[in-house]
Amino acid sequence: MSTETPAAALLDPPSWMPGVLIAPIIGGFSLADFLGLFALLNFILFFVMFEIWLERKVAGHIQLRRGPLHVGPHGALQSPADVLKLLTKEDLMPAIADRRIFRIAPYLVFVPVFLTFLIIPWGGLGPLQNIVLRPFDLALVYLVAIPALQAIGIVMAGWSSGNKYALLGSARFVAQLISYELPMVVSLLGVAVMAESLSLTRVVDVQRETLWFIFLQPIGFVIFFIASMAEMSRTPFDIAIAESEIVGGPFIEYSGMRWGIFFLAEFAAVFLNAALAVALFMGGWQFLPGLDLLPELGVFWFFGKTMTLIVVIQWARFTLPRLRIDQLMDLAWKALLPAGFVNLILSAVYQMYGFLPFAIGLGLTLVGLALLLLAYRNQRRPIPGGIQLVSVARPSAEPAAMG
Amino acid sequence: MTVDVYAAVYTPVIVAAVVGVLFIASTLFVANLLAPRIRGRTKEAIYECGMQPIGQGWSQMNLRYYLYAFVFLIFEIEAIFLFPWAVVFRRLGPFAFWEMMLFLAMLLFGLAYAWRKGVLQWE
Repeated sequence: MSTETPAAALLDPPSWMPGVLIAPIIGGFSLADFLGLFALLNFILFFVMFEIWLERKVAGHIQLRRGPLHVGPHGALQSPADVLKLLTKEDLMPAIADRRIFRIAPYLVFVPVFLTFLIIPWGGLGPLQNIVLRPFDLALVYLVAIPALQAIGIVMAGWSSGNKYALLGSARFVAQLISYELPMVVSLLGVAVMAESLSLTRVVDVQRETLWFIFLQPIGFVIFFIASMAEMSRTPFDIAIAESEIVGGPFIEYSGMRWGIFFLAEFAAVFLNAALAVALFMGGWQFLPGLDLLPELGVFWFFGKTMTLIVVIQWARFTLPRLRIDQLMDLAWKALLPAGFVNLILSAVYQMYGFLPFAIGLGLTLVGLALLLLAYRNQRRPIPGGIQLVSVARPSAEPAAMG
Repeated sequence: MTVDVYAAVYTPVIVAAVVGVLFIASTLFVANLLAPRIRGRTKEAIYECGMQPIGQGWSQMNLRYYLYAFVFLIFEIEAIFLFPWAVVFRRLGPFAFWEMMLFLAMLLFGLAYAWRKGVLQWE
């Protein structure tokens, strides 16, 4: 069977690049690849520090505070100071903990996130075009399969701590992960149908040739964004961590740098998911839809869009209240999953038969949805679950209360 | 070399995983050198918001989502069939398209059935 040769770090290595850099050393990895991995690790470390500072600033300004101020200009050195603190903090482990599993868990949480960074198409920087560490053919499957390994690490952390909150938190975490895995997969299928490829670099190219998928797959984008936010277990979806309730969930017994690894993984995942959303739906490193301005600066366009999404994720975190677990499950199974399948089927119809059958299908779907809503409107129970985000106590209508 | 070339494309994942593990190991090693270690009974007790921990940490609990897990498993396996289909269905023509639509219809019928049966209701 003839397959493509193992892909190199750069899709088109420039001719001036010395052969030593590109020649494979071990397992298809060249020196350039190892340099890339080293750069990637450093990038993750420094970006996560920046991101934490940014998040605290955003939180502060949303809540009419000012955020970190004292360490360095505008508190910019707060995060490095925190890392130093974590490094010199005592590493506690409960006496009844399952010691070996307790130690392995952080590895299983961080490494999958790190591995998923391999497939991010960064774009071009100067003479280097299309920087991507591993342009796998099956990138879309890879980016579902590898992060799912995190669930095992979370369960190991929750179980080995010997703490009831940790156990509860890890159980919730897995329930949430498996529920939001499906909508995410289905939204990726929509992308695969449109791009007719499972390669992330190809997905970006198709978007450059046609239109960004955020316009062609708006439902898919919303589903992917919500599902990825839920998989990170960030605040609208953070019943698994829930500091004010089960005090940190699976990570409750961790301290010092071991705890830091979990949070390194979480914040790296924020960047990762924003970057993947950009690559899948927002044209990757293209400047604007249909406009390839200065592809040599592709990395910067890519970063600009990613940063925007990161701020949106943080905005959601500090604006929305936490969902209850039944609301969380309903959102995944009763709203996102059916919507995802409708999106997938309609996209396939569009690809197969063109616009008119697609439009008819869309119309039929909307009519069907309206009929279903009408049929079930009277049977609905008085909001024990539902998909409401908030139930606001309405002020009574009578003006008499005003005195 | 007669190694399966296609599998060789994915060996870098293992190399990168080793690099990631080494990174964490070295970080924890440095932390181990820098951090103090003073043991104590109360320090090594589990944390229950400051109270004396009651009973064992490993308590029985109700994993309510095992029904969700079944449905999840079915759909996840189906997704593996859908990924290759999504790439090639235009080349395979209308038969492949309607074949998969039938498959999807059966799955969605299953989802609707589970919904009506109350499997998707978190009690």
